[in-house]
Amino acid sequence: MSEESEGVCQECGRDKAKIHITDFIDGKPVKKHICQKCYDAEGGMPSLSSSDLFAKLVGIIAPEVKKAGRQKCSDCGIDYIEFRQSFKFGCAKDYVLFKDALDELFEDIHGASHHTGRVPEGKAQSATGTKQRVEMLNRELAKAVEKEDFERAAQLKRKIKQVEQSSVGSIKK
Amino acid sequence: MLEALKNKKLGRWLQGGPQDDVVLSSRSRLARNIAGYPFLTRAGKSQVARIEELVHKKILDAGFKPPLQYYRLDRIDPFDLRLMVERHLIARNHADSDLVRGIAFSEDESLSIMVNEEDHLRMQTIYGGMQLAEAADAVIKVDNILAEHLPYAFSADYGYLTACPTNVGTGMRTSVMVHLPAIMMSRDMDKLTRICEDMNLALRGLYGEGTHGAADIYQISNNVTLGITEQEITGHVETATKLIVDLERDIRDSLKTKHGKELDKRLGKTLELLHNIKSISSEEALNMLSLLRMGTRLGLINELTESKMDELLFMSLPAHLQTIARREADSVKRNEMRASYIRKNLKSLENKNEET
Repeated sequence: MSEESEGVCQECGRDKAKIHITDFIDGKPVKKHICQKCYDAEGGMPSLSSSDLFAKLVGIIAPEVKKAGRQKCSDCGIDYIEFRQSFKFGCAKDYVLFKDALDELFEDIHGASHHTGRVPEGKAQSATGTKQRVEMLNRELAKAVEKEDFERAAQLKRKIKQVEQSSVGSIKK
Repeated sequence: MLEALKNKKLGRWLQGGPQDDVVLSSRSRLARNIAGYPFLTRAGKSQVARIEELVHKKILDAGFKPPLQYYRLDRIDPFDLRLMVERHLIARNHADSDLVRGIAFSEDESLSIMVNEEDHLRMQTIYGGMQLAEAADAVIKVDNILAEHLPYAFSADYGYLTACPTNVGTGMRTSVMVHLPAIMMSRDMDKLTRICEDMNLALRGLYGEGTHGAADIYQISNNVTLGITEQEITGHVETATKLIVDLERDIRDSLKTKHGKELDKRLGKTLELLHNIKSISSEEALNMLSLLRMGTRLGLINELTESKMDELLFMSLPAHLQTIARREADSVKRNEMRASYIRKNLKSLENKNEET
């Protein structure tokens, strides 16, 4: 177990390294292990985060970056470079804003860029969600028919009807 | 210490299941975020607190049966947090975070819901032995219940939206915990890594990323979450696990037939050592107990029952030892406590055997 072997901060060499980030130094990603104090002292962000130089460097490492541009999300305030650096989205809207670049990134990570799994069902889901849900269920229905899985197709038809009906009136905005 | 964790048997998943000579447990988790709120990476302190409050309330409203216990992790003892990590109720990240956050779990610990970990919600089910399909079905049921109360961040293109791009789509991470002492002993790691690479699965140590295979226990889980259905994910992990189980069993059998004497000697020595040891680190203990676990499963050790063996193994982890002792201890003290705990348990098991 790692209880005895926790690393020490690379900045102050004193406290336990709690934060593990990837910084970019001379265009190369470098793993940094630092303590909370040193992290806070740097303003919580690695040194080069938003400079044009940094954007260029990320552009070299992550080619899809050009497609995303440098537009900031109006909800959470991050742009694609910042996302690429932390590898964390700030909010759901980023997925729409960065779409052009994301399809390529998701192909790299997942070998796919389109969801084929389950769709949320339930009273709490939003009205726009309903429209998407019906679209997805229809797509699944087409797949089931193609596979001649008629039991599944009948099940899906019932579900589509249910979802369409439940969206009338009962959705709170 | 939390009442819910005190004087209680280990989670149901530790009490065995199908193919538990190799597969310790099967786990399935789903990551979800609430529509209309930023992800935790960009949420301010008060927003984080509001999300916790909302999700907490909705989990209680959902009326799970039997009811779940809920705890605010930022309000409980750090020691209890470590205990929860060792029991696989929460992820290590969740324990180490400083956000307002919580955990809901069922009495038998087969279901837990982490609130404000990396995503607003992470629900997981964990069952003993090889029960991947069962675990996946169960967590989907939980998801359906919560979907009646919480609007999820979802898009038709990308599915369930998560803070990290590696979870997007299904948000599903399905994994097995496997005990692979024979593969490790035979240095046949290559075959193991190849199976995982071929099927695009991740291989990790006992407590997630960056930990090595203490006690020869490894986790195998899916990497891909987008463009794949929940059934396909579960199916891939299941197929790979079957191959790995066969590999481990084959090597165990050939070890027994070809090197039976040597193995017997090593097991005897290990048992004797543990009977007399005065102090032992958790890593050493786990490695020795791992060997004994295999010996037990191969029928080479009669003194130990299989379920007792697993309990001994997990109780040798640092925080659990302190539970037994009911006090906090430093690592020197812990190593002594661990040795004495193992000595006592081995002895009691032998006594029982002599009676029968």
